[in-house]
Amino acid sequence: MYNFFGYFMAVYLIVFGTILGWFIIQFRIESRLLNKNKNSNEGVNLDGT
Amino acid sequence: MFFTLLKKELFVEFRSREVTLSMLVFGLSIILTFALSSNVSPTIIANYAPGMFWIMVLFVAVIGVHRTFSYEKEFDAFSMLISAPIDRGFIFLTKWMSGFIFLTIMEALILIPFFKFLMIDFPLQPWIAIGTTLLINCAIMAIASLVSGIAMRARLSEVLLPILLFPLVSPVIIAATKISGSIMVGDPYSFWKIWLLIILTVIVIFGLVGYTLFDFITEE
Amino acid sequence: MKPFFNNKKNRSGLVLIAAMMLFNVWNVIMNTPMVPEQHWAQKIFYVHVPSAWVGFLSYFVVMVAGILFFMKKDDYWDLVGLAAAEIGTVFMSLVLITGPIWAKPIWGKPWIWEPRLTTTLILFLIYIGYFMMRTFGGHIERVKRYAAAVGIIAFVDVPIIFVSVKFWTPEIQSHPQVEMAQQPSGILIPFLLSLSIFTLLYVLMLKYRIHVIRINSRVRADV
Repeated sequence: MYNFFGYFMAVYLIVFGTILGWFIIQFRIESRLLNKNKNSNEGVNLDGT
Repeated sequence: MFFTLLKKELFVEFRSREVTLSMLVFGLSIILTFALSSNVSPTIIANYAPGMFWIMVLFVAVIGVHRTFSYEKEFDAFSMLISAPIDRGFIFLTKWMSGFIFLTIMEALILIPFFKFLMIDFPLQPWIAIGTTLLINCAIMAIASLVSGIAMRARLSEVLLPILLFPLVSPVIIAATKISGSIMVGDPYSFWKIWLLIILTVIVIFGLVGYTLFDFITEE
Repeated sequence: MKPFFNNKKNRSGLVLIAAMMLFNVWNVIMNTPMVPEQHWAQKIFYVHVPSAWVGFLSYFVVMVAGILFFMKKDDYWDLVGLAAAEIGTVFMSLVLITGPIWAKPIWGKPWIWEPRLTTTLILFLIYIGYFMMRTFGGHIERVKRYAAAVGIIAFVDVPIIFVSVKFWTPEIQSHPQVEMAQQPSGILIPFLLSLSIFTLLYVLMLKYRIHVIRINSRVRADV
């Protein structure tokens, strides 16, 4: 007999873990890019104005 | 216009015989590998012969397409070709047509070694087998020419071409294996009608998509 | 450019969708009926199918973005295409991971050449090629066009792949949940709810990713 609940938990952890991880990764990429821009001497105007 | 381009394609080839020759020799070495890896056991080969044949054709098609495009890459002929004032859709059609012709020539030459080395009997209705094979070649080449237009001028083209082509061509390979398998055992037409329809769909759809997209892909 | 979540609308969107997703999980755990032979494993399908739906939707967006890129010649559509391709591939990987996990207790083996799963796998492989092209393709302007073309071809190929795989192994059972209309409403309504929440989540993810790629390309272009 299979442990159905275990399979269920595995799937939900993988799916929501991936989505959460995706958001964290994007957030870190974003803040790194913005920081890098702020710290560089020129400070590129990202709005293109 | 189409025929001028096609004539150019064929003329280049018949002078050097580079493409057909490399396809043929590559095909022969694949047959050798199949024969050795299957112990030439009649039961194994009878089951897998159609699959083996189409795997061989697919590999050989990749080599052929790669050869035709790298030939032009070496002399930068492609840039000149697309800067010429012609409908670029025609370039796709000629690539497709010439690829189809090379593939068919290669198959005609390799057919007897394939059947004899692997000790398979020829199909009972050769004309049906030839007709369907031509259609399948046409379908494979439609996808291959389109993908080569995309992959060939990128870096790493020799890797990108098969990586993109094989998954895209998978419905054709399934259909081809089913059709040839049915014809080898003499199944009636109603058994493999659906597969023929899939092949025809691929020819029509990829013909249209290729004709339309080539204009955008090759833009400079 | 400001961080994405400095925008009030985006921030409230995130909070709202997170709340809805929590409600969705709670709803699936507490309020959906147990199916006799599958027990808990059946509940996998409330996230598995929406993931597949979002994946296919995303690849559809890649195709539309590709067409618009060719029509309008605007780099914005290239960004949309790239963002959608990335998110689509994330969800397709989830489908390919969760599918076998569900299949193991139900079918007894992790992989069966079931049409939907096979189509997903083939599409996934095409998109691996897509990303290799994006990464190693060389000439940037050309690669944008090639990527748009691959996105279009890949989605055009989907129905053909699906039909051929379906007839390839007709004896293989389809997903048992295929006939949704026949499901009791106790399953159908939570499922549709989950589907719509995942779609909303996808819209948010797509907007966020487009924003990040945009910042990235501007920083790269100017530094």
